[in-house]
Amino acid sequence: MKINYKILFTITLLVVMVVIPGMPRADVIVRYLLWAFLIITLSSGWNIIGGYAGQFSLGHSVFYGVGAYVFVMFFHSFKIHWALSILIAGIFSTITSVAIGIPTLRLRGGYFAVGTLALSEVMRVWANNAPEVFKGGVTGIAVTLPEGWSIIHSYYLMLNLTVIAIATSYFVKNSTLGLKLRAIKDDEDAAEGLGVNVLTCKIVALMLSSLIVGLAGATQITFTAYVSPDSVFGTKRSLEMVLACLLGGLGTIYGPIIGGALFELLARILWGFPHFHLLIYGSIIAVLIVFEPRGVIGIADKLKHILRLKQFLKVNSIARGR
Amino acid sequence: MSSYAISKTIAIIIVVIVIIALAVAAVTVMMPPTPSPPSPSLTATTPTSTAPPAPETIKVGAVVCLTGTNARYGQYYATAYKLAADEINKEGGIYIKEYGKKIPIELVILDDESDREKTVKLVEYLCTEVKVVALLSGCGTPFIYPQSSVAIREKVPYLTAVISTETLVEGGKRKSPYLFSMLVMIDVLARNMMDLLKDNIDKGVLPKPLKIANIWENTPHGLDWRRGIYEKVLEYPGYFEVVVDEPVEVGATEFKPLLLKMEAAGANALMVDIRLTEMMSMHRQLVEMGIYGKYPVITYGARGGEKTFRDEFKDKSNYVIWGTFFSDRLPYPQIKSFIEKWKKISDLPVEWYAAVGYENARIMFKAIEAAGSLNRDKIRDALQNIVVKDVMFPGQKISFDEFGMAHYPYLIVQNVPDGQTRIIYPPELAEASFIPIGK
Amino acid sequence: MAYGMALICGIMRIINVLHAGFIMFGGYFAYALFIYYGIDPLISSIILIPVAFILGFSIHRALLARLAKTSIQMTLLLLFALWIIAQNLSLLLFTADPRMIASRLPYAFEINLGGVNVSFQRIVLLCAFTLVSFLTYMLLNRTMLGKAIRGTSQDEEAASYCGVNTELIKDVAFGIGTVLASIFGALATILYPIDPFFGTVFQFKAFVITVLAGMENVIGVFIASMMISAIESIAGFYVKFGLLDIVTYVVFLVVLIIWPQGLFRR
Repeated sequence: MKINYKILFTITLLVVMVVIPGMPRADVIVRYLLWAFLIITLSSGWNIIGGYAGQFSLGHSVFYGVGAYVFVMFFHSFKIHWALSILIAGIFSTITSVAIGIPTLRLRGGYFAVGTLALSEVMRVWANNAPEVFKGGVTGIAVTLPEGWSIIHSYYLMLNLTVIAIATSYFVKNSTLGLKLRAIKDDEDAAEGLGVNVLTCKIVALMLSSLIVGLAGATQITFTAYVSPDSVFGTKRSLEMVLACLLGGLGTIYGPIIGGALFELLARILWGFPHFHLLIYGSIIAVLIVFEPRGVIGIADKLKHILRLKQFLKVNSIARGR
Repeated sequence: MSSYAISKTIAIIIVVIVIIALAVAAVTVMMPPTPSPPSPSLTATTPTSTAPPAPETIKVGAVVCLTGTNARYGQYYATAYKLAADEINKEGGIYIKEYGKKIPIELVILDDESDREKTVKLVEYLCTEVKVVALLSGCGTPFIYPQSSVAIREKVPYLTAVISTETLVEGGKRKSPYLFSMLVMIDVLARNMMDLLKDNIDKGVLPKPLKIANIWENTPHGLDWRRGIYEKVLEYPGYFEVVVDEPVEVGATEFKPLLLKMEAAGANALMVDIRLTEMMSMHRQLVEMGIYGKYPVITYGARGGEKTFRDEFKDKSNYVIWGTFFSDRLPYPQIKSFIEKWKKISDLPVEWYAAVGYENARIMFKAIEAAGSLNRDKIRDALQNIVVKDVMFPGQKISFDEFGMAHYPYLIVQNVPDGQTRIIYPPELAEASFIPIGK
Repeated sequence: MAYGMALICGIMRIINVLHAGFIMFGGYFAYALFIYYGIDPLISSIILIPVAFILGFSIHRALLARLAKTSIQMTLLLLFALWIIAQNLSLLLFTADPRMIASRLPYAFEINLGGVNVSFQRIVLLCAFTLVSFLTYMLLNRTMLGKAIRGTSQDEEAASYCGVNTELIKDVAFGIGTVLASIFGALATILYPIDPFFGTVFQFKAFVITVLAGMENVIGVFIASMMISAIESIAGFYVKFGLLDIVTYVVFLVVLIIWPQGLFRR
């Protein structure tokens, strides 16, 4: 019975998302959703390697940026159709992830995190200094969108991508790969001992993760119409993905969704406090990490347990003939 | 039903949904462009028909860097904008002919956290949801450039404070009638400086050829500067030789390698286009290495007069030359009154960004008044044709040419002992002549 | 002259790394940022010792100790959050204006050493850093406290069997780390202008040095810092100036991949 509700809910949600842009007065919501989808996609993608496999990559902006720049290269410079450009961007991202993954995924936890962080900064500085490869150099470049493109088009594109990302997340979690990743997350050595090919699994996870993130990086150009090293590479972008995932709940399917939605909402609210917003933002994150690292899902879980416990106690006391 | 079968069903359903979504997307994309729903709800009503009720406020927006690495400038701009707006609101607001009354200005200033992606997002928000009638400048070309694409797309008049041409001009043509810049381009400054130097070479004050070490910020700003210098190098053969030509990252702290390179190349003029923090570090290292005092010419482009710089280096900051649009030594009464007003509302020293911010807002407000309407296109036209007198810049008046650029002379000033600066260029406004360092 | 700086960066790291392998990030630059002293920085650094210690100790006690059970990565993120808070607090309090007191100090002059102009300040700084490193070395290797810290980092369980109060030790170690970082910040004002975004580059270099040296090895850190500064100076001549920063990162990555245990592991 529970499962049926979930399906129903998901379908309704999807239908609503598809239909919203047609409604009157939807402008604000569409824009919010657009950005929410982006962060949801990104954190879902990150979740695959960070939440499921436990490999905290703090440099995922590398894939995001690669996706963005490759898209610009193919779409803007080579005049290739946007859909194709997005796909190519995704492929490049994946290739990059393999190149990065093979050396770095051997590293343990903390080192991997810091290593990827370093990598994302390297990319940023490199992009700033190599306008031959990264079009636009430091200034970045503004991309002209195809004739007649409106934000509605981007909305559907993004919606698509989000669905794909979540679906991928779902499939990975419930597959053999997901099981292996969980084993790796819990105890790498033990997993190895059980016959799991740790490195291969990690790389596959990274490939999937980077594909999603790369595709997102490419797609977002359709509504920001701008790319520059500072806006796509660097620690800030990487952290956003991680934090959104954290907010919602690491290693779950719905976590990134809730986290992303909340994250975007929070950002919007904080625009009203120009001087304090980062302060508030940092404090929220700090509190979250200290008290409930499993994010909203974690909190929800706790509540569930509390309710069950209460129920249990009630039943118990009845049984004792109170 | 086994759980495996259940998940299989779910899987199929999801795939079906995905396909539907894809199909819908494909269809939408194929369709002729859907007109974006005309901005329905506004917090304050905006007229949509002929005999409209006047809106309660005039929304003017700006996205500046209040936090993050660029925060220094953002603070100045935000304060300056508020000053200008408050002044007008004290009188009731801007008089809009179309409604026959004065309407107060509502400034919407947002913080982009010195994040270029966010700046795009926020400007879009201002243009589409808040529905500002005009945009005031962001801080610095790296942010103004992405913002300007949005302004072009959304067709909102945007008065920027950029000094590099990339934002306004592309392929020799003006990018959009909605973009304007109130500041003179930096390549003009570079050229003016080279002219000044050439004059001094002719007078025998400086050696010929002058060996220039050209250091520039790795941004379009820096590239324009560099271009200006090279143009003059070519124009005056034999006068100048560029012996070092290096870009510098924003945020760099160690300049020793660069300075050593300069020394090795035998430079005797240092021309740098760089930001304040980096300039401070560079100058410090330059002083340590004893280069200060060796080279007759040191310039940091448009910087060199900041109070922090002067306080820090005292007499080691003397005779540095730099360019500006704003000097409190210009005998304009509006400058004096501005300084007084500024001091009342802020502790920050009066730097030129304060003046620029203030005038940016003031010019825009005047354009809105001249337009007599809150229609973006009318404001754009008004801005294009406006002539604003008694601005604080040299020449005291400003207007925009066919590229949306303003023209007035750059002032080149030189730091002299006891904390003063003297205007040494252009000749008609000069108080004194250039003094080489070390004499 | 960059040696001194590299040195202290390395020292900064070492203590932190000693807490059972925690990797801390933002925390350090948070402290390096809070420096704006009207009084001579050398004296300020001494005053800083108790202040920073208490600050670091409390933060660890209150916040970080809880995270000991969860992963290292969480701590990292928490520290990032703390860093964001610290940065913005300083922004609000001190505004974004860079503040420099370097040239106003009484020893702000150059002396000539064999034909090269060397600023006296750098010499002062070098001495100060060397002193601090020396003291740290003594603390870690010659005192009971030092032994306890090292023991906890090597094997927490075993240490507790030996009667070490590991919780307390970890708090203390963090406190010491904070002290070092703050001293670094204070002393850095002798040379650099400070603004709320100051510590970033140094924090990373510090990390690189620690990894290069292998944890818990003071001498190794010393050598490693020398190496890093040497590499940077040399690279400065060949590499386009803008790319200089990533030289450090690249070295870091290379070392990380090839020698994860560090070069000087005991």
